[in-house]
Amino acid sequence: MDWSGFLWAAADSSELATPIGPACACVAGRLLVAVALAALGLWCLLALDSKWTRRGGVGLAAGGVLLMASQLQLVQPWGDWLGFWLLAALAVLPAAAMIVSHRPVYSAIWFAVSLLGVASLLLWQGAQFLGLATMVVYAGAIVVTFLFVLMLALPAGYGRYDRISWGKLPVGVACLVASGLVGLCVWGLSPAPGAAGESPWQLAKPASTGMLSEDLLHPAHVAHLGSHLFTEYLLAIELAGVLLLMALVGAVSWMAQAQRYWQVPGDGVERTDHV
Amino acid sequence: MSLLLVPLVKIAIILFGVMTAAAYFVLLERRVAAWVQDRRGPNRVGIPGTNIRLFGLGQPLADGLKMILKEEYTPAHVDRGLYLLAPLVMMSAALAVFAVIPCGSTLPPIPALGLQEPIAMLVAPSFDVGMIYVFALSSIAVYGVILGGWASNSKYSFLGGLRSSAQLIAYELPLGLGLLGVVLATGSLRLDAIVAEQANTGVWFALSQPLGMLIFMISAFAEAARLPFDLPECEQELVGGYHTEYAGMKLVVFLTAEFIHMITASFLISILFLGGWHFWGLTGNAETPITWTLAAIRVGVLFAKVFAVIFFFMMVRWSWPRFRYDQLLALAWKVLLPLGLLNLVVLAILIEVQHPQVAGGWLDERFGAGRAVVSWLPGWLLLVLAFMLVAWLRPIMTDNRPRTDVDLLDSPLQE
Repeated sequence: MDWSGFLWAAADSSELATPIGPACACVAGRLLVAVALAALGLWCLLALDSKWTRRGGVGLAAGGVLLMASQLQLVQPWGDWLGFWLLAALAVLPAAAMIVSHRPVYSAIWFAVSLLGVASLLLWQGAQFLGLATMVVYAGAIVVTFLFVLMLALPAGYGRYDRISWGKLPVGVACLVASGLVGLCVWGLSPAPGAAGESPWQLAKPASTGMLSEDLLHPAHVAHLGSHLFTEYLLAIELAGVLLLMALVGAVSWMAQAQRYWQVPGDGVERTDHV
Repeated sequence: MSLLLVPLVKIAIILFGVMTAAAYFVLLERRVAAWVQDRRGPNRVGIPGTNIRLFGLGQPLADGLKMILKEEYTPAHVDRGLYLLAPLVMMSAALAVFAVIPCGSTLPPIPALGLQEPIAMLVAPSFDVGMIYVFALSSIAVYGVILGGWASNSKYSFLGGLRSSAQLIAYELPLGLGLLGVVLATGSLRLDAIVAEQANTGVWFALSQPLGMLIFMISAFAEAARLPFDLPECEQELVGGYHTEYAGMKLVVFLTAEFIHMITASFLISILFLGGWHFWGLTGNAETPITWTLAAIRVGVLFAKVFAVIFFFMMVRWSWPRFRYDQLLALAWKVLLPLGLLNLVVLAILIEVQHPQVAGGWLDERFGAGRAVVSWLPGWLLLVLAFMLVAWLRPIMTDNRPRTDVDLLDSPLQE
């Protein structure tokens, strides 16, 4: 079972805009209801803040997700199928939990869990380096920095009035778009009733990905990736390196400027202690 | 079916082995401590109900029983969810690392069980990015420290969590730089490939890259929070660290995870720099056909090395005083990081120069059998140079006298 086509189907929005299989209208209708439920639930969680709207929002969103899950059709081999959807849920549901959490630290933790889900999806597709790099860079460095800032700046969280989103219309649009995207993925990736046993991601796979998926599943995966990066994409790599170096120099020069305030003119005493 | 069964059996063996090893290494640590300090150490607990002492081998079981029976006290002021999550994160990250650490080379095929191929003594043999996985998990372990400190909702724990997480993040960089030289020389991120390279050339990376090994080892001590970097253990001066508010089994989970980090570090040092299962004239190289005897010898050699490194960890504990916190961070950023970069650059140039198409052929002609020595020599010169540079520049010398010369009220930073 070649799962890499999945990645392309999910990444390429033009693939999603043209439905992959002739999914029947009743499936589409039920998915629309599910999307509406999930969006309403998210909206309740985000834009209103009382105990009952929160509980109702959780219920509505869970109902929407369950309805979407019921539209998935079992595809052989079921181990691959189940693994993919469980990991996808691990990436999407914590992301929803992140935006509705009231406590900033919990938001950061849910963000990290969602990133772990994304990393495991990438691993599942065979993109080992990309998956682990996501884990190291995002979960290991960026979210840890968030956590530091949140813990130092907001030990007790925001005030209650800061914990909900006040712009109810933009929140509604954002909720609709978010759940609509998830619904579209479910629709695009569930197989047409006629073509039972055909896996949709194989149909969805563009012809040009053959070579790439060979590289993804190659035993010397990292060596192949490296040779691509340092031949075809050399300029991009060097530019990214220069950009990071500039950021580093900027940070150091900023610190050096801050240090200057602490020096006493004409003191003549050389000090090496920390500021 | 065996596709699923073989990894499960390996995982079971590794989990059981690591947890038991952690318990018995605690006993060893206490006996070594006693030996260093001219005491006897725990030597009484043997078989219950009898007078048989067995050198205190029952001690870990008794300790475990005591810890399980202890009151599971949770302070009222903690954030319960994260307070529970923190030790779990730390423990899972510590155990999951063993998925990519080989415990030997391979076993011969067992046709009776339907296994026709040689069995790799590694849970994830086809994983091509083993070392990055180790780093990814050690960066996940930071969450355990931060969350433990924050969820405890106590100033001492919080400051301890900040200290420990900054320490872990800071020392990850030199750890990676020390490792990169090995990866550069091997051309692979797989631990089994790194061992195979050392076995085939017969030169352990400790011999050809001594500075890299030194940097890696010091950083591994800091990552495992062993003395001289064990600030969370400072009860007197710092009121402990991120686990000050923990008690009972949750505290034991934290401490065991740290102990497992030490075991992981010993495995990594043995595999990356001390040749893994290879020993000259005893184990053959990676192409030697595997037999049961050979497999057993290789496992024995690897475990002897790991044991020796762990013993070294324990001896260091009673030989060096603890670093002060600013010295600890200065050591990472001002000494190990620049030295790691220097090591990497010099090794990259050396490896490129010794390539057969550049000067490798000439070196072979000129030195013949002495070639191996010639190719190590720059590494040792680099070590001496690094030592002299640090001695000359003194990057972590600090002046602790209170500053009376700065009028803080005039400073713009006081706004």
